[in-house]
Amino acid sequence: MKTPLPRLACIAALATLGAQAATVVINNGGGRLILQIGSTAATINQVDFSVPGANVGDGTPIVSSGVTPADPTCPTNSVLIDAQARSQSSNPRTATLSVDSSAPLTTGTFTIPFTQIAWSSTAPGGGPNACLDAPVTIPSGVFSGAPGQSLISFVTSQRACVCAQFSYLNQSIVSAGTYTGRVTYTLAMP
Amino acid sequence: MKTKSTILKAALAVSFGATLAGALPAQAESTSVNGAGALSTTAHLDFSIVIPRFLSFRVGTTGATIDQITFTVPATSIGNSTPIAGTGGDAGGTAANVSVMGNGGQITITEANNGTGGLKHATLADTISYSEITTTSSDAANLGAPTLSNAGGNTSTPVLSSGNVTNRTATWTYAYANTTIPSAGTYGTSADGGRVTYTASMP
Repeated sequence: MKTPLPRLACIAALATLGAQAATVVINNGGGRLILQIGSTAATINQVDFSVPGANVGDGTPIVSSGVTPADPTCPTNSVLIDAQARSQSSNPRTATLSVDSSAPLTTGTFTIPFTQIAWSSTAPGGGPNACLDAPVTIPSGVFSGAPGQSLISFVTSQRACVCAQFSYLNQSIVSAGTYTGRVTYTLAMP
Repeated sequence: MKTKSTILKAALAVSFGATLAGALPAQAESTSVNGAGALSTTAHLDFSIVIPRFLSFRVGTTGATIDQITFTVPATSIGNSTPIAGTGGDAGGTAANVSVMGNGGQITITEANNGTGGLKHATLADTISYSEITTTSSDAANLGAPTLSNAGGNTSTPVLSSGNVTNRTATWTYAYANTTIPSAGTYGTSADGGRVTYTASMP
């Protein structure tokens, strides 16, 4: 009399299994966020501007002269902004990417507010992060000069990804010098 | 007959997202976080803006044109101390548009002329002193005009707008004071000590 073998559901293929029958139970995990700003080099990326003397404060936008380190995913002088949020399909959640630009750029005691910095978003051209087909884009905009500026909100599990090219709006005559500053991007999922 | 089969049971907890294609390595401004409950992660971006020093100064018509202010004194008014208005200013009459912009600190405007003792007569040795030419600024508080003099060297200092920035405009209106009775004739022009040069300097 033949006894049929039990039916086994193999949910995950494990390389270590030989010619074995296996039952794999995948428990529900928690959520996950991944945020990348710029290249994958182990440093904070920097966007550089150099204003011609004849244009100081005349309102001519100055496109960034360079981004260091360069990101092969994006065109020259643009920064990769990649936000990924995942959760269980049975528990969709909303993730929000925001930016804090409240601290102005400074040189000594002189300042330039981040409201003078804008960005133009374009789709990444592929590359190792396979960001080309990200379903969510991050709109072009201008830093608000305040904390918690919302850039995009999206429901999990999705990926928002753009190449951002920055411009200095150059709307005021400012004291000569090299101004530096930092913005902080936050990806959050309550 | 029983057929035994070996059943391998494995309880495997998998975090969703761990098998992302091209999973990111741990880098400084590439961050990740996972777990139950609320999650938040941050990354930074630096900016640098180089603003060079510059200085821009204008008296009268822009470009290479040098305006000529002309006073014609009526015969019945010579020397009666009634100021005489004139013509030739780019802002109308004897008014000249003036602007000074810079971002490297306090600007100083200095007057000079190409005469040796005032505006010289075209054919005689007579002169009219530059003290007879008055200058009135429409914004004396912020962009005053240096007093013209035979020797030159008088200065004015535009008030800084903010920080090391100066961005001031005004009109300077010239008049002939008419306090002396000079010999009849034409005095000045660029050929006879009538050219005034203003120099704006910034540290």
